[in-house]
Amino acid sequence: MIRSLALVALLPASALAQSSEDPATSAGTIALPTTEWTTYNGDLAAQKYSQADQITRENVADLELAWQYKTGDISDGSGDLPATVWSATPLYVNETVYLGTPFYRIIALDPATGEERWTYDSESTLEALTQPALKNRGVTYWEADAPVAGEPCQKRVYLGTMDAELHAVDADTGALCADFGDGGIVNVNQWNTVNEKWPLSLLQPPTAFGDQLFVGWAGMDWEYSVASPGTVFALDARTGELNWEVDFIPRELRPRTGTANVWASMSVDEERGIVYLPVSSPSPNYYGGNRTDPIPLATSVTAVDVETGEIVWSRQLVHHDIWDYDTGSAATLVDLEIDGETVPALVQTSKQSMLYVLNRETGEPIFGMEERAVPASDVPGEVAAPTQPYFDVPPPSHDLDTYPRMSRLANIASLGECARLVEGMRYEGMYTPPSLEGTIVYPGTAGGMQWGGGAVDPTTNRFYVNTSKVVQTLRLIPREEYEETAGEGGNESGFYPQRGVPYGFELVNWVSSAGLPCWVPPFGTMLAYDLNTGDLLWEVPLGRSQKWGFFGPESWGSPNLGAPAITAGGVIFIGATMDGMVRAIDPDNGNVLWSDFVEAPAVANAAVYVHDGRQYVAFVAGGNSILKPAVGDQLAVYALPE
Amino acid sequence: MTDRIGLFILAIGGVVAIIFAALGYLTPMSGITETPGPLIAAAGGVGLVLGAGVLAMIAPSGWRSLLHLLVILALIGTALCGWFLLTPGIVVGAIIGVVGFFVYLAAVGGRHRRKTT
Repeated sequence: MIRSLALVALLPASALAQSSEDPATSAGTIALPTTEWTTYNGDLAAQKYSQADQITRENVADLELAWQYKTGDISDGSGDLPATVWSATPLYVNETVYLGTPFYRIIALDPATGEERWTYDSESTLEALTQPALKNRGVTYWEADAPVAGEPCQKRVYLGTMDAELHAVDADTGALCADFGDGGIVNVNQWNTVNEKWPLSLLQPPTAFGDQLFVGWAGMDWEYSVASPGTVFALDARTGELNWEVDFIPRELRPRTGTANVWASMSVDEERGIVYLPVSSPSPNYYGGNRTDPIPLATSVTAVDVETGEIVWSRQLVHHDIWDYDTGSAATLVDLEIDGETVPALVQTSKQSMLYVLNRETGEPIFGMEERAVPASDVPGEVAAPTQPYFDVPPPSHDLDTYPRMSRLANIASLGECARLVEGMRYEGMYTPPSLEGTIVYPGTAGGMQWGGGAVDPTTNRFYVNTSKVVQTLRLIPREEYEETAGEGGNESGFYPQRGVPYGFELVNWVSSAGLPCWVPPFGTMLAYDLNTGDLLWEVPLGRSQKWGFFGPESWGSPNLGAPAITAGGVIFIGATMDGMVRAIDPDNGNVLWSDFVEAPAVANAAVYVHDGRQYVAFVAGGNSILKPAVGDQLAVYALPE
Repeated sequence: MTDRIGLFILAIGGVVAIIFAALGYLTPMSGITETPGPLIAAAGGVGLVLGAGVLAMIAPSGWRSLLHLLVILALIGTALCGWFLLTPGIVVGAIIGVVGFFVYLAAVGGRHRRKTT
């Protein structure tokens, strides 16, 4: 069981000295942050905050590469294997660094040197069964509340695979835990009994709390109108047996729709025994004529009782989602100080660029919200929701009423192509429905805040988050025309079939044939908010765009994936940008204090830990084709000189 | 003779740009590893070396004016490449080339003035 006290007991004395300052939480209802990094998001509250304070604004410029490790699990897609997309945040726990790889291996490393302690190979099939690339976002750690001396598997590491297997191995040796499932492996696909078209891909590591694992999964986006319903499974962490399951598609609608799955990470309120699930949109993603009945749990943040699986509350963030605005990151749990009262809150970041600040006991908005009328659909068969919820406080990272104007320079350089690409297309604000003539989508599925989410400093309740400002265009294509024009479709061409409904679609970024973005920058920024007041404190361009090796000006920023981490030393660490740089940022103003190049864009969350009294900052540089084709297999770990 | 020195410096500038472009292309984690950008910068550097060599060989003519223009374009292009590749060494190469080209132009211009006065 991952509980803060257990973690503190594991810390070496020198690390305890590092973390001896006052606990960081303001209300004491959230487990204390430590100098370990025990989950994808640092801790179960998904705060991405570390008590480590050795690296400060004053000395961060001295940061140097302490060690690096190359997994060898890499493919650019040019050979027999699909390309790799490696977004695994490393864990530091049990005095070991644990990594998952896109070849579905677990690697245990010495935290001070990067020396291999053991590796485990799941021997999973290396085929892109659901997603277009081999993906992995890390591993899960669990340990028994009362470990039995001499018994194996009292501490475990779990790894999911593309083909729906969940492997459990001993955290000290890497040997399979025989008492888990079938010889250490649970085939999650055994519960994929409705509309099975593909395996439930376990790309995001499960969330461990108590003696349970909460398992979400990824599917094959944009392919079918009727996909598997997005069930989340709670497994016994020791045996792999199914304790309970919860799903979000009404049973009577299952013949017509599916997904609303949880493919991103989750957070847990340990005191209240609630797991918060970021629930995605129903299938198909860009046409809802087959599912006009209400699906209130889809595209939501949903609070579930960890013991029973019963839904405590749910808040839908997009009604009748026809924009693929999946809720795509773990909500960050934080106790706010509002009008002298401590309010248990969560912050849900979103693709639609709004920050949903909710009371995490009730799901009620803390700063208010408004249901506003939004445009109607003109597509035969579609019935867009008449209103959508708007959360204006804290301010969204994007203007929701308009999209960035066209770059004159880009339009001239493209000989007018930029203007032609959007000629006659619809845009009446963010919730303009998909259309046959084409709809400008801003923020789009590639834009806004992605699966990393944000980071909060619980000593100040300041929240830091990165966002992408990418304009896309979406066109629904009648089936007959689609079959004629799209061919095989797929990621490269921008065509996707949505089989089973009258329309396929084409979704592309608004860029010229030469790859020039057609809108004015910035293309990505970083923002800081005061969560106690809902005020935006600052917003600065983040990173540099890059094409053919040439870097754009700093003021342009970069599209980004991956999240920041914040430390008690007063430094934000983030990779995320397409320039392949990792950065340290001043939380007071967004200024870059330090940077270095890594092998590929570091699209995983940064991890911070203290081992033997020395603070380390770890970045996985794995790349993601959404940003650029570069792939990597590097774990780069930085520290101050000894 | 001074014009030859200027062209030699111009060529040196080109070589410096080529070296830093090659380093950027080949060095892992340079930020521009195996991207087309440093190859374009290297082509600019090659242009400077070739320009210097040809200028040293040909007699004054209309072709020389055209070559001057091409060398200026190569200098600007190389410098811009270095700037946007975040590789100061390439920019330094271009600056060395500019110095050499000015020395060359000054020498050629001085000789031309002596002939016409």
